[in-house]
Amino acid sequence: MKERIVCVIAAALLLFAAGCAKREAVNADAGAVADEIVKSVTFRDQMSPIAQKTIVKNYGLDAADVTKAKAYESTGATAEEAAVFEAKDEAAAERVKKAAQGRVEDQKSAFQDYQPKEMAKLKNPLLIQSGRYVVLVVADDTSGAKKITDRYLR
Amino acid sequence: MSRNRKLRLLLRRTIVCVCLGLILAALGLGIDRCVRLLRSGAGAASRPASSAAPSSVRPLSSAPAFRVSSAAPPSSAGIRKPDPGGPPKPPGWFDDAALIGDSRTEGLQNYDGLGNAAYFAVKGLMVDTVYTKAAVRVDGKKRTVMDAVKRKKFGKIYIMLGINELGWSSSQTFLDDYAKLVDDLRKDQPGARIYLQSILPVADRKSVSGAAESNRKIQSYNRAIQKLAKQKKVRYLAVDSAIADASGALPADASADGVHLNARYCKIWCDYLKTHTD
Repeated sequence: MKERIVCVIAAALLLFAAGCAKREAVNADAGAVADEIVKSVTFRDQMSPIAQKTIVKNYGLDAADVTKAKAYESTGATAEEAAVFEAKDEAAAERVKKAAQGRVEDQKSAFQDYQPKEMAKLKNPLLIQSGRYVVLVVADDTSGAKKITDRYLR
Repeated sequence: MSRNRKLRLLLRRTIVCVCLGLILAALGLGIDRCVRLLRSGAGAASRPASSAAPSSVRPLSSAPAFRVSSAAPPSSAGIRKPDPGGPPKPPGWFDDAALIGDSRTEGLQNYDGLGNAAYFAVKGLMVDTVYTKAAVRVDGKKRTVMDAVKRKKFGKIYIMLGINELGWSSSQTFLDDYAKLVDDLRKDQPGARIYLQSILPVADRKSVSGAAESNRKIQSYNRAIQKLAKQKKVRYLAVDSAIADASGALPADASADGVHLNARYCKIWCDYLKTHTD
């Protein structure tokens, strides 16, 4: 009887361990996720990919924090942009997210007099960190980008 | 019960427990995987299969959408043939170059093809606000363009300003301020070659909708900038000749709003700079 109870407890513990096991780390292609976002979200401006060195400069990043990144910029007629960053670790991702927030603030300063109607987008950007990944999307409607982020990076 | 029998029983029970545990663990992980698969959508791969650039974006019902320029097929229709210039400058030519300008130069920076050139580009920048608008981030601090430029030594300085000044009541004030800017840059960067770029035209739809932004006025400003370049003994670059269509306007496919150049036309601008500077 005693052994049977021990067996049941052991099984329950194993089941608990399996259920609580650390979820598999997300491993996505930041470039492909950015492409998918630009395909799915409606932008009013023309969006074009920018070079890695320009991404580092525009977002004020420490290049060592970023493993891979892809960003699309508008022509300057609007504040629209879409960027996906893969950081080297979660601590680096937090720094990248902070830098992306800084970029949004800079854009607000730049657009508030220049194109005030762009402020609506800048006041409500999609800015998400999920593990090592950070996503920033500035557009009229970012719900499509949110769905893609949830699908690939959560 | 003998000692051997007890040991065999304990071993058997341990094996049963381990097997049971492994099965349950596998089930637990499998369910998690299934949930992820379902969340990613029926029939869709859990990760994007390709990193190819998208071909288009869908239009909003309330506003026109534009094609993604990176995927737009190249076409030379409507582009006026500029003076071909010389052979392209070698890589590294722009490494000691500074580009000063407004939001259009900001676009050039985004779609950059000029190596390691430094950009001092600010939305709405004008020949007077280069001294007053603290918008260029240097070492974490926002500085004016003139303050930021003098912190480093440059061999070449390219300026494109004027589109935001078209509405000024006095074009002479624009020219006086532009002349002061050139003089001050000369003082701050004594060895640098200075290039004044012509103002790029706007699209016809923009030109007829706002008198201040008419291409006629831009052409008149450009003639004045060319004269100023001659007076100050600096170089004048007719970049507009590379961008404008046969009527002198910005081609319709060059921009979303008739003012800001897309990636394809920024490349034409870069190519002009590479072949027309000495």
